[in-house]
Amino acid sequence: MTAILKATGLRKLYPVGKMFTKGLLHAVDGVDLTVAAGECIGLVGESGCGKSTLARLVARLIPATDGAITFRGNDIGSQSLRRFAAGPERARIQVVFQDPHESLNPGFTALRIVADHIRTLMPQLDHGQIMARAEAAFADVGLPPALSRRYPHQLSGGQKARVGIARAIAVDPELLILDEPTSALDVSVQAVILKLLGELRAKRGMSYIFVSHDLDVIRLICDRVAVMYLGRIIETGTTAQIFDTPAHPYTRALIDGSPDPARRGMSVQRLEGSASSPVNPDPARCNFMGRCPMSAPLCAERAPALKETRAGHLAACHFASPETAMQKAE
Amino acid sequence: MRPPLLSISGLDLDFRTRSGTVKALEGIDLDLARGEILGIVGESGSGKSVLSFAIMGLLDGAADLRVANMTFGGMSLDAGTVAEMRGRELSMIFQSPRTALNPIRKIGRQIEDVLVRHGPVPRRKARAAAIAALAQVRIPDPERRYDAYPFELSGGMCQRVMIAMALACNPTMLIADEPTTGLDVTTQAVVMDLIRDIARDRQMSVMLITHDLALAGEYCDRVLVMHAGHIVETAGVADIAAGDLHHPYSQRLFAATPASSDSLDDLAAIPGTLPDLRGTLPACRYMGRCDRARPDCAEGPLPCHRPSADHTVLCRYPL
Repeated sequence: MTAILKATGLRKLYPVGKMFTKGLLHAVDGVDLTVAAGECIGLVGESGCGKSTLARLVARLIPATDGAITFRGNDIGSQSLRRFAAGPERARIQVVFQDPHESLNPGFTALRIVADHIRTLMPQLDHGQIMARAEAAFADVGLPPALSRRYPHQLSGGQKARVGIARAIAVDPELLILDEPTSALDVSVQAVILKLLGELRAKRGMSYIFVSHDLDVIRLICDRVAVMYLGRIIETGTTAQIFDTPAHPYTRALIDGSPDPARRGMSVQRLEGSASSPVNPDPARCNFMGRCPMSAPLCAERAPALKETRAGHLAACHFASPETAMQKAE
Repeated sequence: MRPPLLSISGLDLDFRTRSGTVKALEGIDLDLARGEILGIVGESGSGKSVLSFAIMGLLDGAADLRVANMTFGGMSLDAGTVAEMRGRELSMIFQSPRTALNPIRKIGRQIEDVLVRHGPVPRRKARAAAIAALAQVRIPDPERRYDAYPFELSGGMCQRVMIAMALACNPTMLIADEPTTGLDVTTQAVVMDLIRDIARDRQMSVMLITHDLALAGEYCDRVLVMHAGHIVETAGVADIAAGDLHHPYSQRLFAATPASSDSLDDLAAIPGTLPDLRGTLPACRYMGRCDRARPDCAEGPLPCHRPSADHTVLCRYPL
């Protein structure tokens, strides 16, 4: 498979505090991410782990502090955000935002929301072509034409989510970045939107970066999963590898934490406390230490690097050897 | 069998609005045993929250509540008695801890307020009692947290404060309205474990309102499925976990839950939307969305099937 997007050593630091409490918040701290053509990769982790920031960096909505991003071999990471927004790659990488209520202009009709977006990103098209494209996008996401004259407040949550998706796919993107696209939706609507996203990917051959905190959703829709903790990817592998043989203790805790009737009445070891501060983290120790059930002296001496436990399965833990991963599987 | 703690039969609730009468709840019957955790699941708008407000006596003036019988611990529950019991016998955890807590009052003081208002605790002893309540929900370092404001705490911590407040007066029944929405999975697990353990230790009854069937399956003893103001199915947790559901709507809801699907193809959507609850409605309010519906589904009363002792299904043509 050919990689369409490649990000290496991506970092995003925010200065915080003033005078004597000055520090740098490491929102994304040295992340490598590769997305192959037609692949759906899931970013998962607790709130504050940097998954949305990473998605925004890759989408070139915010500038990175450090690191390189290439898209189809073109270096897009070193372009200014303004130049990127005016360039041809803007239409190739599109974003669907978390909250459908907040991300649509309340003063525009649904059709205009989509058409305006096409007009900005595809200036070569005339009015007729833009309208045809917008209507085709509406049909693709299953919105009846009658709804295209409505304003966002006249649409239900599921319909607004569809408008958000229609806007993103109307300009024929190759990579769609979905930032928690279903977390604001009801169960039944979530199912519809997930199925729609699955169909669109099959039909148009797009790649997805799917950000979610819901492991069950990730399990259903993604080919590959990257688990994030405090700005770093701490485990990555195929969906089956991550869910069947998780190697990192944090991934195991996440999987054990999602509700499952099969675990009824069992006392499962839970992750207590919250993540340590992302401001000026100590680079010489594992940042999961303190919450981790298998803390050892080694964890305080050296931060574990992301290394391969099996083909395609990487974990950043001193104790994530292939053997322990195998033992867990048995 | 011992008499249930809470028993409701024939509860109807209408809201008078400018555009007509909204029939929010109709023919609700439910029993809650001591120490039982009862789950109430359904889509948003199915009447889950409004049912809990009706029990707590927190409805607004436009509500027209008619109840054939509602008893709590053997006593009739009406507007006068529920105000007396609220906070002491009956307690509630609200959906969003950030909006339910007073943002400009220390959390310790907020717990004290509850203790002084509802409990027999004098103000001078309240501080110690509030710290004990914080410790009980496993908030680390409760003496120091007593002086924290809500904005200084994480979402999970705020939710624990809400639980501490709800449990401060040792209620016999707790209504938890989506207590973990907006929390991370790891925090959700900790908060739910806490509610379950306290319910078990104190023989406290819990009504857990959620839209997550998997969550209900892990923590509840019995689950009610609601649709458009009706209870369409009541089942023991074993049937819920196995997907042994007989009402077409419950079956669809189960299939739409990502946790119960193996692949995207397994995931099935529920066609249609909730009906408009104004005006005249057919006896079965799911009729318009149901693929098994026949004309006589509009005629009431609907028969109640009992596939097993603790399983009831309100449907003319159950699966």
